[in-house]
Amino acid sequence: MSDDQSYLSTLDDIAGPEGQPMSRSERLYEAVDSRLPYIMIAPVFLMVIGLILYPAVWAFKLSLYETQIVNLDDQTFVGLQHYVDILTDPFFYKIMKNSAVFVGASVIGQVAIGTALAILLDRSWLGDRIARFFRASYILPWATTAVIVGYSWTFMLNPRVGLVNEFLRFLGWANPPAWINSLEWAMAGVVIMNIWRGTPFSLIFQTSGLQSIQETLYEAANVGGASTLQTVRHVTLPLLRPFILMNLILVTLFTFNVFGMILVMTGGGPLNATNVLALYMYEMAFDLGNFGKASALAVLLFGFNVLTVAFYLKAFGGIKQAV
Amino acid sequence: MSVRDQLVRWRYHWHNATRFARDHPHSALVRLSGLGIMVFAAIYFVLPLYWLFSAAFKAPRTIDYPPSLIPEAISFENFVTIATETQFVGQYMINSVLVSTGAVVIVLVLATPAGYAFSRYDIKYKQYLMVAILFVQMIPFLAMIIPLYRIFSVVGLLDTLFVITLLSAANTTPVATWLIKGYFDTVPDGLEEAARVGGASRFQAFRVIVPLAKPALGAVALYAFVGAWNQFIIPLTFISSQSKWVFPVALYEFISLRGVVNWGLLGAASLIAMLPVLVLFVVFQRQFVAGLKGTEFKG
Amino acid sequence: MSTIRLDHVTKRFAEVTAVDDVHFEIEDGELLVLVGPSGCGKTTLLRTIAGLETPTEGDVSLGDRRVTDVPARKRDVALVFQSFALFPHMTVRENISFNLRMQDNLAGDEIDERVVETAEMLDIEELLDRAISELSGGQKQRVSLGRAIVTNPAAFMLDEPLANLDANLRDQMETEIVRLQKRLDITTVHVTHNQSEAMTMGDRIAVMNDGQIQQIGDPEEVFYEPANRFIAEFIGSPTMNLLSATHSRGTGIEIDGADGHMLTIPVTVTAPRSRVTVGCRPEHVVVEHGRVSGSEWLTDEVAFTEFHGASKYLFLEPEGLDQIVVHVDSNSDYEQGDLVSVRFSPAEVHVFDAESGQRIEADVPDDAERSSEPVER
Repeated sequence: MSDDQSYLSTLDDIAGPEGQPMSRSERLYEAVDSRLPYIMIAPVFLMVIGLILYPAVWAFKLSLYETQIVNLDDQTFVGLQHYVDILTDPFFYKIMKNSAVFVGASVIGQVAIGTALAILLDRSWLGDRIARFFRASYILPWATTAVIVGYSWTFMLNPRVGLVNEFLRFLGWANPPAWINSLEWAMAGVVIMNIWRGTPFSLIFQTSGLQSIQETLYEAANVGGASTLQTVRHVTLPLLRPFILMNLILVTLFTFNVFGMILVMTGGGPLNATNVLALYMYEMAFDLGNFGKASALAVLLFGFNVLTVAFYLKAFGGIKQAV
Repeated sequence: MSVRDQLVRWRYHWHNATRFARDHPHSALVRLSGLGIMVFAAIYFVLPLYWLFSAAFKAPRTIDYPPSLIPEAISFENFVTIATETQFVGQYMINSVLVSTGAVVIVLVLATPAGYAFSRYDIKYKQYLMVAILFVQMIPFLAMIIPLYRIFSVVGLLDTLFVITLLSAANTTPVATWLIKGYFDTVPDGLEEAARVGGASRFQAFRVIVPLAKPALGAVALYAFVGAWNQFIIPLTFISSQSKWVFPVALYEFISLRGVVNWGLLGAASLIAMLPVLVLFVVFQRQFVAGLKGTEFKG
Repeated sequence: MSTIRLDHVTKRFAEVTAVDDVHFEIEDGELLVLVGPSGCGKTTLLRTIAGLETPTEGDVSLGDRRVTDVPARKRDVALVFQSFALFPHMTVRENISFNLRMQDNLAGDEIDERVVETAEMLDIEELLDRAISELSGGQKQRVSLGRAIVTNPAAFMLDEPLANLDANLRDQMETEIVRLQKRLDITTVHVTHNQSEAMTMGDRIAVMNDGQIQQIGDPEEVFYEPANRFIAEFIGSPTMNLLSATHSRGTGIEIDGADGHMLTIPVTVTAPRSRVTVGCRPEHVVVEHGRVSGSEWLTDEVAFTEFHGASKYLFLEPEGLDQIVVHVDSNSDYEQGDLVSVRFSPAEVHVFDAESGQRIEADVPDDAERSSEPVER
């Protein structure tokens, strides 16, 4: 609404309906009312600034100090020492490699499965009821807390009593992997769990993307002689492109920060095989109590987030594609 | 509908399907593989929870090799143990409900007027402000934990339910503002222009329009509730006393303390912890989808 | 090239019957216009022919081939949408070539060749590498026509393709579509709610209402011999004057006004019905200045006039009767408030059953002259 500029006026400019001077309380009411748009958005910004932005800036400052959890007021300025320590520590590169595998595999799996299922659920070829049943079962993991996610997959992947290995043995694999007890397979287990948890978001995101595609475009393709698979390839997927890009960006950002489920399932083990940057940072802060170094890790994590977004935008050709 | 009607219907659908398959073998193959993928996916998404919850109904010590999908005998012993020996059906539930409800209230109170204002008024730098509140979500939540820990310890709010409520709300508010703005965009301008011309102040006009956004507010409330209910790292970090545990923390500590995992007890505790969300989920499935989709909750 | 045969086609959606027992044939190379008010089922019928809807009952045949169960993509029918339905992520060239690319057996060279050929035919070859968002409405229309005809389809379906264009462009595209259709000699079904567009474009017109075909015939037939009251009102602008009247063998048709005014038309009908509706187009109402005596004449003041360029319409509102509209040349000197006398030319009068609305053939006396140029039959 671009109706008037009156909310920019001052108390004295405001007169009553018939030009008579208003009472004090009326004038106050008018003054508040005329500034209402700003009053309405202020609390959200106060919250965002107070609980997100200000702490984030503080985190950057903390990363330049030596601070221990035992005495938070005892701070010593150390400059970039934490960053130097981190970047020269081979362990950090092991963590980064783990993170890259975890984020890469999870993001690809999640977006691919979510998009595929969204396309399968679209356009009611199954009938609404069946589609609703399937959709409900696909979204369920989203409503599950990280703790239950972690434990239920620990149970599923249990080498002895787990269903997954029972199934693999049924398929004829005599010695299936020990999953979270195995150095080679633990990361795969963690990725399977994370895809399970994250796919519902991609599914719903792509569903809304599909709804933006006009029905007549499918009809035009159909009348034009395109088969179902050709339509998906030449019409649906290209038109979903901006949604897929946005989805990739969001899921990557989310996944860099995921560690609750890993904490529950493996605690980063065995022998740090599933330790990722977010978990490492959390342990640095609350197990080792080194707040300064943990903050430096957080800043690095933020840097990776920004780099990721920049990379995607470059790969897909510009921000316009995303919005 | 009687069983017979149902059978007749199935036979009709079966007949239709076989005829379709005969006439269009290629399309039928495509459809069949589509259906196969969907069934396989459904198993992948449902089985882990089903299995954990079904363990709850097995008698203690029957969970062993080989795994069985269906409990041989339903036993409630695990639930009895959880209810009598822990605070799951008591303090933790109360805490979780308090935190989630509180978060819903905060989110609605803050995001509704903000979303409305962004949709309806000319606000300076509107686009930048809207993008800014989403952009801050790019800052890793972890980076904030340490400073927040310090702030709350200075203010003396560490180890209170209020802190988790506030932080859970802060997590949801930006997205909620966007969703509500998007919904108000679909409500025609004419309505409150009529109210304004009729002599209503801005605030009165706002109150006239808000009830129209009920579907959006409902979806946002669900979204905020589930989000707060499932918070794990926030309460784990900011709560230290057992009397203030919420479900996820309680579950985690419950298992950590025992060392050896008792799947039956864990299943029972998990089911209790997830039950409210499951009920909400079943009842409001469509709103869940709509709430996450953002623009699509017009109906 | 082929005929399209609709064999008792019915399409029901839950409670609504959109198409109700439609049965007719569209000839090879013919341009048939399906016209009717919105919601009459014309678009559903078109989509049924194209294969986007499956009929609840009845059959659709293309040429000798029964295609009722053949999916749209295998019917060899092209469809132009009202919204154009151009793929926004493709260039003009990619849009036009889309249908060709969906067939696996065509070489790239051949596709290019046919796209260019089609673009030349539609005069859009310089637009080929543009994005869809850069095109004007008329250009989009041409591209969507191009995408439809490039495959040389057996039949061509147009779903209100001109509805989104502005008036000038619409006239131009009307001519162009007809010329294209004649040149390609392709069986075409064109759907519109605009009756004047239907009259201009169609070889034949099928008027639809409530899911049923009301009349099929060439434009003159539908205009001069409407099969029922609905068509009489729907076709022609301004609409036909329709008045309720009494019929008797002796005097012919009598229209009763208030205060004993009686207007007689010396026309008898075969069936001995007493209550009828009589219709006469504004063009066929004879008008004279002042009062003319005789039972065939009705005298009244001109309530108001409407100027339409070459013609002018006089509106009479005689007491106790419905409004009567009279067409005159715009340079004639009839003005508002003038006293005029009018009569209905007997040869141009349409008689409908008062209850069913069906047309009743009238016996016109031999000496009755036609008011305007005779109709060729």
